[in-house]
Amino acid sequence: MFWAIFSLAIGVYCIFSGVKTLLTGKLSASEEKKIAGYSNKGARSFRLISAVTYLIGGVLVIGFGVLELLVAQKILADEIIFKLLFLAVAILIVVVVLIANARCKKMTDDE
Amino acid sequence: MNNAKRSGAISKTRRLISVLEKCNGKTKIGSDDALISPTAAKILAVICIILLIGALGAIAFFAEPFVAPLIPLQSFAQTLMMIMLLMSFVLSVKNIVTVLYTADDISVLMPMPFSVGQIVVAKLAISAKFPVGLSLVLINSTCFGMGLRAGMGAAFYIGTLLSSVLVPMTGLAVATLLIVIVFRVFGFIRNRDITMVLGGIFTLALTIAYVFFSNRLSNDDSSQLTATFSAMSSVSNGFPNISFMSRFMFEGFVPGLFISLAISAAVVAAALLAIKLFYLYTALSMQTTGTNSRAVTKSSVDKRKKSGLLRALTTYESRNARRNPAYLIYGFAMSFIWPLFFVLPFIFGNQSFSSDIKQVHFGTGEAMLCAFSLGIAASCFACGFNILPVTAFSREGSSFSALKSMPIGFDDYYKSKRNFSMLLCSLGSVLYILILGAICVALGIIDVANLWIVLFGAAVCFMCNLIIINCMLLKNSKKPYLNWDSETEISRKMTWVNIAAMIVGFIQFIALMVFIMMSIFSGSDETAFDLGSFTPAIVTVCAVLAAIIFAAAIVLNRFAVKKAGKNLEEFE
Repeated sequence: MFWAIFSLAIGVYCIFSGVKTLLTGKLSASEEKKIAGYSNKGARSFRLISAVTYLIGGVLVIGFGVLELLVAQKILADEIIFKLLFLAVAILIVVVVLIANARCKKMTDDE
Repeated sequence: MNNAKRSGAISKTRRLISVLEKCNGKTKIGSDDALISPTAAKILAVICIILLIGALGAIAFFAEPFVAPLIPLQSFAQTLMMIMLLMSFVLSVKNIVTVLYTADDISVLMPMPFSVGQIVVAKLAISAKFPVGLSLVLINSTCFGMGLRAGMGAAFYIGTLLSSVLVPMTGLAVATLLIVIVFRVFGFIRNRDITMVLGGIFTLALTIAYVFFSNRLSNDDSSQLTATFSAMSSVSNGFPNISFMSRFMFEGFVPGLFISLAISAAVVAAALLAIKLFYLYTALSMQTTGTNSRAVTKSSVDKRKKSGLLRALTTYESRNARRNPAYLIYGFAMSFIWPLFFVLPFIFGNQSFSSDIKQVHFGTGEAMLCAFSLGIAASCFACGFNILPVTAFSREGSSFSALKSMPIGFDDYYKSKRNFSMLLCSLGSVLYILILGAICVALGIIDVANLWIVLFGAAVCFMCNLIIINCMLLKNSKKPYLNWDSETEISRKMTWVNIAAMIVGFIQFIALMVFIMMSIFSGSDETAFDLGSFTPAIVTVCAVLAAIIFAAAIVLNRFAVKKAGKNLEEFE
C-alpha cells in the first residue's frame, strides 16, 4: 500500500512538472544551466523532450501505483509480468531520452 | 417570428458572454515562452481536467471499502452536496460583486442594443462557470467512483449528474439574491470598514441566533467520526433540494426528483426577480467613483506636511486601494465568508447547541491549542482572500514611473503598503478572534483567568499576517505587472502565496473543527474536556511554535523591507 501511494505521489509530481514545463517553456534552474551552452533549437528540443518525458514517466508511475492498489485490494492477481512490462517500458523511455538528449546537444541553429 | 426573436436573443447573449470574458482579462493559458501553442495549451488543460476527474473517481473507487463501514454512501453524498452548495455560495459572492457591481463596463453596455436581462444573464453565466465546473468535477467523480464500487442503480447516477449542476446553480442564485438585496438596502457600499462592521454584526447575529436554535438531530453511532459525518449529513436535510434529491437517489422516491428541481427553479426565479427589481438602480449609482470633494484648506495641507512621509504614503495607499474593485471584493469576502467559517463548527452539534457548550469547558492546554490553530487559520484566510498586497505595486500601473522619480525612499514606500495591508487583514482576522474569544468567555467555555489565551491567539494571528503579507509584497516587488487594461483585470490576480495560505488555513481549520467536535461529543456532563497530564507539554509546544513564528515574522519583515526596496529600485 505504501508503494502504491508513493508511486501515485511521484507520478502526480512528474505530470505537474511536465505540464509546467510545457506552459512556461522553462526547466528547473539546474537543468537550464545544463543547456545554457546549447543552441536555441537544441535547447527548445531538450525542453520539449524533458516535458514529454515527465508526462509519460508520470503516467507510467501512476499506472504502476494503480496496479499496486488493485493487487492490494485483491481485484487483480499479483503477476510478475505486469511489473516486468513496466520495467521494460521505463528502460525504453530512458534509452530514447538519452539518445534524444545527445542529439539536442549537437544541434545547431543553421539546421 | 417569436422563435426567431428568441434565438436572436440567445445568440446575442452568447456573443455578449464571449465579449465580457475577453474584457475581463486574458484567457490565454501559459506564458509567452510556452513550448506549445495557446490552442494546444487549452486542449492540454481539458485533458488534465478529464484525467483529474478520472483520478478522483479512481481514488473514490479504491477508498470505498474503507469508507463504507464508517460512513454510508447516502450520508457521504448528502454531505458532499451540502459542502458544494456552501462553497458555491461563498465563491459566487466574490464573483457576483465583481461582475455585477464593480466591473467598469455597465456604462458601455447600457447604450448598446442589449436588454438589462441579457446583460445580467451574460454576467451571471460567467460567474457560474467556476462553481459549476468545480461541482461537476468533485460531485460526479467521487460519487460515480463510490457508486460503481457499491453497485448502485440508475437513479443514483441520474441524481448525481443532476445534482452536480443544480447544487452550484442554487448556491449562485442564493448568493445573487442576498447580494442584490443587501446592495439595494445598504446603498452603495464602497467603504470596506462599513462592510466589516456589517459582517461583524452578521457574525454575532448568526452565532447568537444559533445559540437559541435547538438542533434535534440524533444518532446512535458510537464512533465519533461516524457520528460527525452523520450529524453533517443530517444538517444537509435542512437543505430541502438536497434531501429530496437524496430520497430519489437512494430510496427511489420519484416525486423527490421533481420537488428538488422545483425548489432549485424557485430559488433561481426569486434571484432573477430580485435582480429585475433592485439591480440596475444600485449598479448605475456605483459608477460614480469620485473621492471626497471637500475643499483643500491651508491648515489641512500644513497638517499633511507635519504628518511625515510614511503616514502620507500610507494614506495615499489607503485611498488608492479603496477605489479598487479588489477592496470591495475583499470586504465582501471577509464579511460573508469568514463569519460562515466561525459559525459552521457549531452547526454540526447533534444536540442542542446551548446545552452542548454548557457541558464543554476547555482547560488551559486545549484552549491554547485551539487559540494557536485558530490564529493561524484566521491569518491564512484573511491574507489568502486578500489580493491587495499581492497586487500592491502592480496597482500603480502607469503611475509607477512617476512615483519612482519622486524623492521618496523605497523603504518607506514598501512600509506604507505593508502597513495598510496589515490593517486590512488584521481587521478581518484579529478582530474576529477577539470577538470569538469574548463569546467563549461569556459562555464559560474558557475561564476568565485564561483570557490571556485569546490575546495569545490574536498575537499569533497578527504575526502570521506579517509573514504572509511580507511574502506577497516581496513577490510583487520582484516583477510588478504594470501594463493592465482595467482595474477588474488586476483585481483578479492571485498568486501561489494566496493559494498556499488558503490551503494551509483550510487544513488547519478542519483539524480545529475535528478537535472541537471531538471535545463536544466526548465531554461528559459537567466535566471538563481536559488532556490532563499533556497540558504542560501542549502549552510548551504552542509557546515555542509561537516564539518561532514571532522571530520569523520580525526577521522576514526586516529582510523584506530591504530586499523589496532594492527590487523596486532596480525594476525598469
